Amino acid sequence: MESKSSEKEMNRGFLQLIVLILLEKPSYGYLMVKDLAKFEYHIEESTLYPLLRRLESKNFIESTWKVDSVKPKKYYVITEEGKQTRRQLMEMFGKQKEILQKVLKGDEYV
Amino acid sequence: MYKVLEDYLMEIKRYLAGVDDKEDILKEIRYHLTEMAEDLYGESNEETLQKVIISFGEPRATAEKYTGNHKIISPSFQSHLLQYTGILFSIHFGVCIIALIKGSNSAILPFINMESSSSWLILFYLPVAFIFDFGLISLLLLLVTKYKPDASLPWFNGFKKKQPSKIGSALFTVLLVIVYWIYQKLGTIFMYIDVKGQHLYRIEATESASIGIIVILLISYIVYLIRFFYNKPWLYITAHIINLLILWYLLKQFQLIHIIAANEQLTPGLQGIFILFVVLTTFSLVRWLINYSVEKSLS
Repeated sequence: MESKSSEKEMNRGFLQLIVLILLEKPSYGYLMVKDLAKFEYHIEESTLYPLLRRLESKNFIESTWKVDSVKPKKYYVITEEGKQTRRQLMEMFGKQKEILQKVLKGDEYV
Repeated sequence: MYKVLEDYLMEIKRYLAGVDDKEDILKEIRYHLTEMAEDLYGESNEETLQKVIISFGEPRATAEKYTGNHKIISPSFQSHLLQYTGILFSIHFGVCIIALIKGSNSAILPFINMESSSSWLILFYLPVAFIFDFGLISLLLLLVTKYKPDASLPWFNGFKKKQPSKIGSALFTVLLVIVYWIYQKLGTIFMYIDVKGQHLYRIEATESASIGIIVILLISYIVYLIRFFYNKPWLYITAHIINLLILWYLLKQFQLIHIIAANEQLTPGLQGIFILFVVLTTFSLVRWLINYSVEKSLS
């Protein structure tokens, strides 16, 4: 139970970054879920949509409704502000990875 | 239009209180579920939609993911809620006591009002007053959270607690002894000086009132001494409430019936002294109640 909540906490930031990367090209919710599944990254749809809404409220992404094969779909795409944030997140992620590797080299943590 | 889908969306909508663009959210979920059903089961119907709805999650849990960051009152204002309610209620309480003892309506307009129609009314009025105060402060903080969530609200650190001193306790002891000595000598502590004749006269029918005042002084004296090693607001609050009850009893039972009959022309002055005493004690009680609520809002 505890490990599940830690996993959720870690995933929150990671998912934000992945979504900002995926939205380089316009995409919609269900398609993003399927795209991520191809990379063996399974997310709950009910988590993705609120995240998209939060990113949109921060102006990191923007959306438009389009009628695609009869059914309307809400397409999202990254904004300039979102790209800037994505860059910062990537740098942060790189640094974290580096720190993690350094820490793991220390014997007592492994 | 599939009933299972409409019911599901309606339930989510119920839990999306305070969220903007509800219809947009529901529209997105609707098309997501329809596409998912078609993708996984070849078509969307009641049965296939039911399956995808189950995998999407409980309506309440789904809605909470949208409302997760939406707080009615910002958590950083929760201590303010307790403190402000405590302060407002303390004032309310004080106004009630003054109205009760002086026997007429008291009001701090527009919202603090106490009618003096019945002494027992206060028991019903105070819980209502507390709920009202809590509601009013909640409403104000709700508006601040909505329109100015970064506002820095004033914080009251409480009235300064004075430490008892040895000189103070010595003076208090002397005062108590003198008052008791006067009572023993004259049978009352209420007197007046006739300026023309330069005589000291005792006021008639004030024996019981004198005992009451001595009891009040004795309680205050004991509390003063306890303060040397135990300095907590609830102690003074209890002592002040007991003192006010005694004052109320004196005003209602003795002064009005016996003193008026015996000293008609002195009654307004005496009543004024009692009411002044009540006001000062109530003022002090309100201060301690505020200190108590400040302490509680931080614990």
